[in-house]
Amino acid sequence: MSKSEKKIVLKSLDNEAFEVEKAVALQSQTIWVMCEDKCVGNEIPLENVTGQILAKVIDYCKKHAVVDGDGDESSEELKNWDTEFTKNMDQSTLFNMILAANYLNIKSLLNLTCQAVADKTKTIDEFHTFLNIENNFTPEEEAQICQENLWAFDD
Amino acid sequence: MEKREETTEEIQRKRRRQILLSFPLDLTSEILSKLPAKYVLRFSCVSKLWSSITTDPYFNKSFQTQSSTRPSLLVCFRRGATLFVFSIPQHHQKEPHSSSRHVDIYHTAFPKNCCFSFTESVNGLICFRNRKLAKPVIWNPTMRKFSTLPKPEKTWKDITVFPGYDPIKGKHKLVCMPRKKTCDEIRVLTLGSAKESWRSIKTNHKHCPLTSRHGRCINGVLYYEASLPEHTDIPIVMSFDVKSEKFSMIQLPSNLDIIVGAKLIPYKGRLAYVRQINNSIKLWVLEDAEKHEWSFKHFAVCTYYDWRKYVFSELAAGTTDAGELMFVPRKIRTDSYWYICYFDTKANSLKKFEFKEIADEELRLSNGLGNRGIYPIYTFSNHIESLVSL
Repeated sequence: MSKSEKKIVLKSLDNEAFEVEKAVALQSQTIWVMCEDKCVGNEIPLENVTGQILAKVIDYCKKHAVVDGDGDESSEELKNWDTEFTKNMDQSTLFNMILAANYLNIKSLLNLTCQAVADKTKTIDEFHTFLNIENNFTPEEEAQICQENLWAFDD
Repeated sequence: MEKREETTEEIQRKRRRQILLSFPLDLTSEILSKLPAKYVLRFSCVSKLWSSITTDPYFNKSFQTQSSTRPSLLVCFRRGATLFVFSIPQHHQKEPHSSSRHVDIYHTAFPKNCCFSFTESVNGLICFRNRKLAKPVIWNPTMRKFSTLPKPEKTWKDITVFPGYDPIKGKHKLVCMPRKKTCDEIRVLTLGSAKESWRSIKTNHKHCPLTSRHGRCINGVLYYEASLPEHTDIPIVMSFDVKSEKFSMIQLPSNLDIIVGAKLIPYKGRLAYVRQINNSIKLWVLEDAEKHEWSFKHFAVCTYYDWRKYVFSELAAGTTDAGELMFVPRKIRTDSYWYICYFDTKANSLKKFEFKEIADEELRLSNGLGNRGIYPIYTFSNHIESLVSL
């Protein structure tokens, strides 16, 4: 792939194709490595990400690529944009975004989405339901561990 | 569990489970590390797996990294055997609406015979002394636990103790010496080591730590004020490299008289002295410890309100990440709220933020605090949450 080629095509798990600027896509370390190794052509298959999620990831990358390049937006504005970006995402979208950010290796997006889940999850039930963790403490163990951290349950 | 018909919620839950079955543990851990300590502890009661994640030293470290991005100012006062603790987010505040800030409040029993004036929060832990037993006491305000350590030396009747933190190894060390005595054999203890015991470390500079003065640990170096036996009237600063355990001596600038109210603070990652007199602030910043070089700055505070009226206070509680100096009163008066003054050295401006929540009527009533002023108020700046168990 020559340097003059500025566009790149990302193909999702469900075969949706997105044509994006190379600078946008290269925020993903995973894609960057793929391009460096020249192990792919102009079209990059992303087998772990659905089109719906990939579209959002690309939105994020576009926003952040523009800012890095032109510097016409303050970090404050970018921060506000990030907040808005995750604000209305439901939990399962957020979790899928985390997985995508992890797979594509986009550190800032991973950080943002993990923080968003953390901020939205303040009760055990929410987290429990979400991560579907089985409570494998015996009632005695649970009573003891909760007793030790009793204050953590006040609101 | 009994078998029932699946509700929509359960179907949704199942669908989520499919996503989450493949959810890697390190990402769960990543999310957990971004939660406030309270929630981490709550969630650790959920499952053995999570309990094991949250007690893992690696997790503790990444939690601290996250936590250090949201430092708080810890404000405390004692009434009888009870310690009242308030935690205020320290980050730069733009809007002067005190109500919008979240203040975390709790109270706890304070250990007997202890005094913690002139101590600081070092990476989440606060250390003070039990006068009677001559033993150091460690407090983790996040976990709400106190722990008394062994006596550093049998023959010592009272002690001076300073906490230090080595950011590279992620270890706290305590530095202890006899109170009001000159010595060159300092005791050092590494917290959380397999066998917590005091080691003796020799210094070439025989010195006596000044009492009732703050120590400061900045970027792995602990600083405290002392005097040398040959010049007891000329204070110096001793530095202790927490990692290499080496002591050095730093001379003070000639135009600085620390005894009349100058206070050690961290300033933009360096050691500094700050002194406030009337409408001016003087700042000495340590530029080169080996060459004993300090820079000097003087700020005339342009303010539309009378500085003296507001700052009948203790000096700077510290500095924010943005480099603002924080000033706080040592007393909660009955006719006004407790506050923090931020002095922006760049813009030369002073901002004041009030905190209604600190000793408000409700707290006074429910704890029998009465209507009098409350004194002294202890403040610990740059406090971060720590899950270190003691």
